[in-house]
Amino acid sequence: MQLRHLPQEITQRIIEFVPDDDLVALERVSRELYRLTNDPLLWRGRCRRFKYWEDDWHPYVSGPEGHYQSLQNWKRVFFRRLKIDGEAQKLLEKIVSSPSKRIKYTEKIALYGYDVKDYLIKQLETPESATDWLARRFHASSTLSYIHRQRAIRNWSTLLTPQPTSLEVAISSFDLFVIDDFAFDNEQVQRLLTTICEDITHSQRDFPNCSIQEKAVGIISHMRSLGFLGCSQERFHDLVNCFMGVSMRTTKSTLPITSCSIFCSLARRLGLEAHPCAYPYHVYALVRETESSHFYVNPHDSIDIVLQSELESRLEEIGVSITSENVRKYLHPATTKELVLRNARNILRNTPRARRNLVDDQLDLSINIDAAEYAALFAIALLSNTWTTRILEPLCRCLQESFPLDVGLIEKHIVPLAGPGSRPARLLQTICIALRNEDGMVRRPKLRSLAENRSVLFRIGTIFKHKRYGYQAVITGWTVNMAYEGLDIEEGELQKGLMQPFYRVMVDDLSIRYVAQENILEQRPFSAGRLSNILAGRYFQRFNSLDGRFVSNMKEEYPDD
Amino acid sequence: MSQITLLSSDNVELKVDKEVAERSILIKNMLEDVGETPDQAIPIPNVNEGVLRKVIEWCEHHRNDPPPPADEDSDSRKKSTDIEEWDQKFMQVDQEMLFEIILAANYLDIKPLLDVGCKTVANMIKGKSPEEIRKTFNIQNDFTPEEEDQIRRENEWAEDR
Repeated sequence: MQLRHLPQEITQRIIEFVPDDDLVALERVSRELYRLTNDPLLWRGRCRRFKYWEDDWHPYVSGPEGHYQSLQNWKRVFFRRLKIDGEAQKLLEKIVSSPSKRIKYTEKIALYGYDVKDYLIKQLETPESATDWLARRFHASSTLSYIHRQRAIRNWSTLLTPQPTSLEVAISSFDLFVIDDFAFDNEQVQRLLTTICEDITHSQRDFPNCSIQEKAVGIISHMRSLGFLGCSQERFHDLVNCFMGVSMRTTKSTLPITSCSIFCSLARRLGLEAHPCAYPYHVYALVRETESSHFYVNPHDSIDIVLQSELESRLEEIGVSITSENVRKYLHPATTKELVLRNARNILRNTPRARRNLVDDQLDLSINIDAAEYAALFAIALLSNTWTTRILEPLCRCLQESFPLDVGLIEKHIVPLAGPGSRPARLLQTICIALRNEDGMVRRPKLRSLAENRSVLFRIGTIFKHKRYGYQAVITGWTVNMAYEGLDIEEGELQKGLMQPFYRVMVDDLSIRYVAQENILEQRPFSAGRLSNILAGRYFQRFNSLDGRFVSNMKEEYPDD
Repeated sequence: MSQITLLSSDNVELKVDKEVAERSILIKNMLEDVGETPDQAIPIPNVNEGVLRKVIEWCEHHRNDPPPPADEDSDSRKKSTDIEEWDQKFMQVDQEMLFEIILAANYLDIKPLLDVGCKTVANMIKGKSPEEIRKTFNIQNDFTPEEEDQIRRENEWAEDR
């Protein structure tokens, strides 16, 4: 009894266990083994280990789960993915280990788009036994965020072309700026919508035979039974309401525009023609019955059909005259671009309030407000091409302070729109050039052997309690020349004034502050508590519980710490 | 504890606990169909005494294992070639016996044993050159030189990662 005497199905089973690289040797052994190791189903099976696929860059429309044209090429596709994983690994290694060229390397990884998403998600689970687990998780996460923003921007860019993306993809692209659970992207939103449709046709057996009005009502009542009840007046300004995907999987609380987007996406999947309309203060959905007749619905508030005459009289009440132009503007289908802009403006209206609320009540489900604002600003800059300082200034601030990685996205998508040589373009370009220069620079080391630095007592990674305010924080940087750094410190409160070292610190509420040396009470805790957040990975490799300190990942800048 | 008797292909009767024999889905289904514990020996026509004893030894050791997880999406997971220590020792047999055990596990429908066998063979392939694989398993190279060249060219893109 020998290997070649085994029935084919058993040899195939053995081959399934052979590691990827060894299959290349195995196929060279004999004709029979060549045939079995080149079975397309074997390679398709291996491709299915990867969940995410970048549609635009390879011909396999939706990965191994979807339709595919050529059965022959799965092997090639698989090895390409392995190769990309290898590239991503090399690049991530560089990003984790040095602050120089992080922008450049992030852009390189992001060129692979969703083809590296599986790899990066795996890095988010780097075990705590790895010596640099915090840094690795942090940079994997920030690279993933970048890839998602890039995807959102590409989705929105299609709205400027004759082939705009679908309503649900465009609206849920706002989510791509704010999610930190990367499974909930707009592909997931689309799957959720499809599942809801299946539930509707399952639970409403005679749905296919219903009239169009009955179908619309059926969809809305199903939405309401799932908990999509719009939102009450006092919750109107919650940021979550503007994010279709987040709202769908959590609160189910929505603004009218989100309710209508969900309704129209469901309706279209179920064969209806439905579009949101840009009615003032409230979005209604238009549902077409025949060529010449239609009705409206208001899925945010009720299951009732709304007639055009009602909407017209309400328009008159608020002083809008019923001209054909106004009817077209407010009662005809709005373009997806208009709706994205409207949602962006809603977000901008709600962010100041969200910032205030963050202080009084810590919502469990807090959306990253900076990211939300940035999404809205980006959408407006991209789609409306208006350059008021109300957009331009905060956009520049976002880029500089929170999203310096996005230089390339601004250069590629925003600068050309603003027009070469225009003031906004020049301003943005100046910032981009500065950020790129800084990215390419090798950090100047702050040496403790220098006389001027001798007075710095505490090192990077030290956890301390603030003498006056009592909060816990960790040191992420220091300087002996506070005045040069132009930072605003309340000098009067300090006994020793500015003539002492200052520390940049991350507080346990994850904010960044500057603290004078005289206010630092060093601690050596066993656990880093709330400081052990993925954001600490920006500065540290890990927390060392034996030492009670974080291990610095900023050796280039602070070689002696 | 009720016992049943198995009859090997070379006509040797082996007594075994019913619970142990039921690690084989084939035997389990057979016993369920009969409804009661049979008095007569159950013939296992494809498996000789030596192999059957090995298989029973494995089933004895694994009699209390939880049932294997449902196999719905097996090919989307990366297949591990890890084998637990006892099974590794158990599989330290000559190739002839190894393949006989695999065939018996397949015939008797004992999936976990079949997998251990297949993983063992896969581990013997791991890290070897084509020539070493041929030697290990006594396989003839039936490629023409032109075909070998062809394959090498086909795979250039898969290398240098």
